[in-house]
Formats: sequence, C-alpha cells, structure tokens
Amino acid sequence: MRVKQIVWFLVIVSFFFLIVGCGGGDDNTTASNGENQTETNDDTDDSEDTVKEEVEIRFAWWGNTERDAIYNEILDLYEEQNPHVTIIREPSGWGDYWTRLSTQTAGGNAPDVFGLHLLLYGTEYLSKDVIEPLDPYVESGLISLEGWDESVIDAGKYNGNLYALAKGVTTQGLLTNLSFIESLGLELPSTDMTYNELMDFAKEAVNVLGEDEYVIGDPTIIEHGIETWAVQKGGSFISEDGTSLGFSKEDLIEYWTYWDEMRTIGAIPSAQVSAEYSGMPEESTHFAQGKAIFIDRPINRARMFAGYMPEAELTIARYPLMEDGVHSGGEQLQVPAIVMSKNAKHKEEAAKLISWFVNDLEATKIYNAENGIPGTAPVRENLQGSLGPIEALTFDHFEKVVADIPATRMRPEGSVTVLSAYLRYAEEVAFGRTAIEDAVDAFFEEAERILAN
Amino acid sequence: MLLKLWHKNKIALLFLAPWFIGIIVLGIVPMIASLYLSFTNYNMFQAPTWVGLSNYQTMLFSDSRFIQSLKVTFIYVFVGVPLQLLMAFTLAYILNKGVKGLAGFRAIYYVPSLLGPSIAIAILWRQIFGTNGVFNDVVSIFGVQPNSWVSDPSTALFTLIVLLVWQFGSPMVIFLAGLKQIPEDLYESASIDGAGSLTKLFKITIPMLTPIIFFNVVMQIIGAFQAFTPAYIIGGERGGPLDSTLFYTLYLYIKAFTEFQMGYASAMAWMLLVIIATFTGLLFLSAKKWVFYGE
Repeated sequence: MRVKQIVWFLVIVSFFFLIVGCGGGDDNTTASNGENQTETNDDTDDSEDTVKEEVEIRFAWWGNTERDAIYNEILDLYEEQNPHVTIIREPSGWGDYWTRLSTQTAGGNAPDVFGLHLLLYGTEYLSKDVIEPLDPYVESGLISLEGWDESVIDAGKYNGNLYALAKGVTTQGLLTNLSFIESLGLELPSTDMTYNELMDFAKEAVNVLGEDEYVIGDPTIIEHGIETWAVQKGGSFISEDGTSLGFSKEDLIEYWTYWDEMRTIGAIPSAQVSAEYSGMPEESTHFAQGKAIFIDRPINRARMFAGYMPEAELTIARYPLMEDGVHSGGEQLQVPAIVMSKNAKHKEEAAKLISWFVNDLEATKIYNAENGIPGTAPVRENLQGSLGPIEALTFDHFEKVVADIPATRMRPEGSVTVLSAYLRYAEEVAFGRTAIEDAVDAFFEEAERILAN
Repeated sequence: MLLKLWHKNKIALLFLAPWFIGIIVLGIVPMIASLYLSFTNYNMFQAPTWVGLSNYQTMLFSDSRFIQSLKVTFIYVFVGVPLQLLMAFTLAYILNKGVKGLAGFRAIYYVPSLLGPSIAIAILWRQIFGTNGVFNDVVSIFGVQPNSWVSDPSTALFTLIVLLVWQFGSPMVIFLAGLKQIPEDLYESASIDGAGSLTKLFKITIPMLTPIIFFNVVMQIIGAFQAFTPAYIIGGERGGPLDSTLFYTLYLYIKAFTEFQMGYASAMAWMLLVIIATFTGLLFLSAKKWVFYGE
C-alpha cells in the first residue's frame, strides 16, 4: 500500500507545517515591529559574556514612527552593551496601545517591560496585582534611584510600594504662537494669565481673527481641562476614595459656562469643527497650521510642534490660573512611566534594563527628554548643554509649575469610564443639544452610578 | 459506531483535522468562554465573578447607550443594505445587457469591495465628507450649503450608509452570475408573446433571480450588523459626534477594551448573535413566500 504511506507522510508533513507556521507567524509579527532588532547574538562565543544565559525581554511603548526610531536606537545600544540580551520591541500608537496591553495582560501575556501612563491608567493596572513592585530591586541595587526627585518617585508609588519609574514628567500648558499674535497686531498679556485675562484677550482677538482661525481648541472635550479646574477649586477629578466625583455641580456649571461663552464669541471652534478634528494627527490641528493662538498640550510636545512650524516663534504659557481658586494653578503631573509585568520571565534582567533606560547618561541623551522632563538631577544636568531653545523653555516652565501646584494623585479605579461619560456630556453641551444645567445633572447621576459599582 | 466511522474515514478525518482543531481552539472554546463570561463581572485582570443575568438586565432596561447603538445599527442595516442591493442589481442588469468591455467594468466596480472595510477607505471618507472635501464642492453646484457631513450628528450616519452602498461590488458580481444563468429561451418566448422589457424584468428576471436576491440579502444583512471599521475611524473611536455613529460592535468594543467590562461586552456579543439569528430566521421563514427555486 504505497499510496497509503504517501498519504500518511503528507498528513504528518502538513501537521508539521501547521505547527511551524503558527510559531513562525508570531516571530514575524514581532520582528516587523522593530526594524533593527533582528540581529541575534550568536557571535558572542568568544566574548566574556558566554557564560550568561541568552535572555529575551519584551519591551512595549506607545508613540509614533519618530519615537520608535529613538527607542530602537536606545535599545540597540543596550543590546550592544549586553550581548546576551535580545529586546523584542512592541511599539504601537496611543489608542491601540491600551487595547493591546489590556488584552495581553488579561491573557497573562503582557510585555516584560512596558510604558504606563500613571495619571490615566495607573490605578487600573496597579490595583490589580499585574505589575511587579520594584522595591526589592532597588534594595538589591539592580535599580538605582540616585539623584531622583522625591516627588517623581512618589508619583510611581501605589499603597506605599514603588511600581513605576518616570520616563519623563510633564504637565499641561498653553503652547503659544507668538508670531501669529504679532501678525494679528495683538500682544500676549503674560505667560501667567488668569481665566479672566484669557477671556479679555480672547474677546479682543476674535475681532481680528480670520475665518477658521481660533484663540484655542475646545478644552472641554479634553479631560485635563475639567481636572485642572477641579483641582483649582480645591477638589480633584474623582474623590480620593473613588466613590464620588471630586467637584461640585456648581464647579462644572461654571466651567462649562466659561467655555460656552468662548464658543459663542468664536474664540474656540464649534462642536462640529472640533468633532471633525478629533482623532486627527497633531500636524493637522489649527495650531500646527498657524490658525490658532494657543493649544493646550503636555508641554513636552512643544518641541514636536516647533518641528511642524519652523518659521513660527513659540513660547509656553501656564494653563490659565484661577485668581480666587483654592489653588491658583491646578496642573497635574503627567507621568509616562516604565513598569515591569508580574509575569516577566527574567525579572532581574528586566530590572537592569529599566534602571539603565532611565538613568544611563548615554541612553537618556538619545532619549533627550522625549516624553517629558527627566525626574533625576544627573540626567537633567547631562542634558543641559544639548538643549535647544524650545527645550530650555520647557525645562524652565516645568520648574516654575512644579513649585506652584498641589500634589498629583493617580485617578482612582473607574475613572476611565467616568471620563468617557464626561466627554459625552461635554459634547452634548458643545453641540447645544442639552442645556448646561441638565447635562450637569445627567452626568452627575451617571458618574455616581458608575462609581457606586 | 464511532470506531467504525473512524476506521472507514481515517484518512479523510486526518485531513480534516487541522480544520477541526482550528474551529475547536479558535471558535468553539472562545465562544463557550464568552457565554460563561456574559454571566459575570470581568475586568480582564482579576477573576470573573458570577452575576447571573444582571448584564443582560442592565443592557435591556437601563443602558441608554445600548438602545442608541441598536437604533444606529438598525438604521444602517435596514436603509443601507436595500440601497446597496438595489445599486448592485441595477448595475448588474445594465452590464448584463451586453456592454462592451464587461470584464473591465466588472473589475472596476468590484474594486471598492476589495478595499472594503479598510482603515484607508474610512480615512478617505473623512476627507471626502469633511468641510474641505470633494462632496461639498459637488453639492455646492446645486446650491447646498457646505457642511462637515462627518461631524454633524444629523448626517454622520448617512455618510457611513453611502460608504456601504458604494461597496456594492461583491453582490453585483453574484447578481451578474445569476443573470447569466437565466435561460435565454424564456426571454425569446416572452418576446414572441409580445412582452416588453419591463414585463420581462418583473415577470422573468426578478422571479428567476430570487434565490440570488435572497442569498445577497442574508449575507449583506449579517455583514452590515457586524460593521465596525468605518464607525471606528469616522466616528473618532467613540462613535461620535454625539453617539450618532455608535454601531453595536463599536459600543461592544468600547465596553470591552476602553472600560474593561468584558463580561458586559460578552453579553452584548451574545445578544448580537440572537439579533442576527432572529432576522436571518425571519428571512428564511419569509423565503417560502417569495423565493422561487425553479419548477
């Protein structure tokens, strides 16, 4: 029965391919994510590192192609210095990053080392026992905290344990197009405007702004706006125990009313225009196109915008201050941090990589404060010489703000859901579909229901 | 008996094994898991906790966004699919009349279906129907005020329906194949009896084509219920503006991956299965009345 044998042979072979096919597919997808990582380290036989076990570390971050290039350069350097380590790179865009990360985490398959935005998602992850505490590695010396700012270390703590190290720290500010202001024949009152001063300035500006030109994008549809307002009022986005909103109905009415007036006079775009621009890349914002005076963004993006608009003179102004507020400045520290998965295979190697990534002078020089101001003094000093004017401005601005704001707390669990409800009602108000008071009532009711669970 | 089946079809079963493994590992097991999860509270990171029917109750009785997503999806399916099939049939009918270069036209009209539910097309759509888009240039000829159609809550869904209709290529190709199957002698004898082309269309073409129409209706409705990409991209990942493009699948995605309510999302997935099964079942029941399988 030769035929039978052939058939059996084919079946076995096809099984083999099926298995190989699956495994190979995985390798290909990870390989295509990082361009330069395909070099394996077979050629280390002669070096002293031969005794070290070959280690693979999966490293994930969010960003764009420019950021990917920087990360690849840094991680290549690490592989060069540590030939026994291969770093599997898993970059993705901001939106997809969180989907992917949550799915991987749920499957017990999270990357060994990954980026975590502490203000937004910190609690969602840290409260669920999926992140490795870093204190033991600090004690054993694998992770160095020499020269770190206490406030930045604290930002990475949860229930007293250290979980996350800042890749950089940033805060919301108003990036300002001075050339545009000048061309309009206006003058920026100061870089420390209050809400009232901003309103007066806007009222003046709308008289000279052209069609499709604005003072600033609509901050009510960005979460930082209301959070800053709440902090200035002496509260927070969600109360510390996570059971209720951290501001009153009156606060929200006042906030929405302020920006509604801005919308009415044409200082901020209509809801429809905002909707059209939502999800668009930064390059196509009104600000980057030279059609808006301010944009409210994390200040580390000043460099990126400077790249998009080389002919414009930019500066950074404070997020509006509240004269009669409990705190005049309400900015929160935004901390893109680096953490280790509880399931990481080679924890000590991962800890070494984390420490190197945030401390090594050569690595941080390549990184060049890409994701915010470094939280460690030696790194900051090392960068001083190589800072361009816009980065120097960012550093100065940051120092000024940090000295003036109350401590930042991670948002409690459930905040992501409350936030998405908030954005929905803010949009209803912006579209004029719901009166401000009604939207506030409805939002409070929904938020309290979410937080009660 | 099972053993006998095995001995008789050993080789065939082995050849089918990869498919069986696929459907069990990637299909049946996840489905059972999701059925279980739909009765739980599951945040993806911690063990699910059993909550019985509470997800289904919330969904049906106290989630206004769920109702909104149903409304959006029903409008999309029951306006979009008929328009799309009408378009597909009309073009297939014209092409079948013997247009020169049939193969070329067929290929060209099929291209949009190939590009189908891709990210690139969704982004293109945003451009076309945006404030500075081509659509405004065209309608301004007829004196229509320029508008940003994708970001106006009252027209955003309409741009998605246009996108669906535009992808008429694959049902058109199936209609074309069906039209070619209709025996020529039916038309000849009708001509001899003095039937005009309209009579032939309604008395011969459409009745003979009903199995194909039925097939297309079922497939397109199932597909439209599951549409996701266009709303995800055009609605700015949130089904905006004002939830006007909040497709069922998009809401499910938001529940699962933005709000970490995987149990609720699983319940929604099963509810979608029930909805699609109901409509497909109704179509099959109605088929007895209008689908003509010859003789």
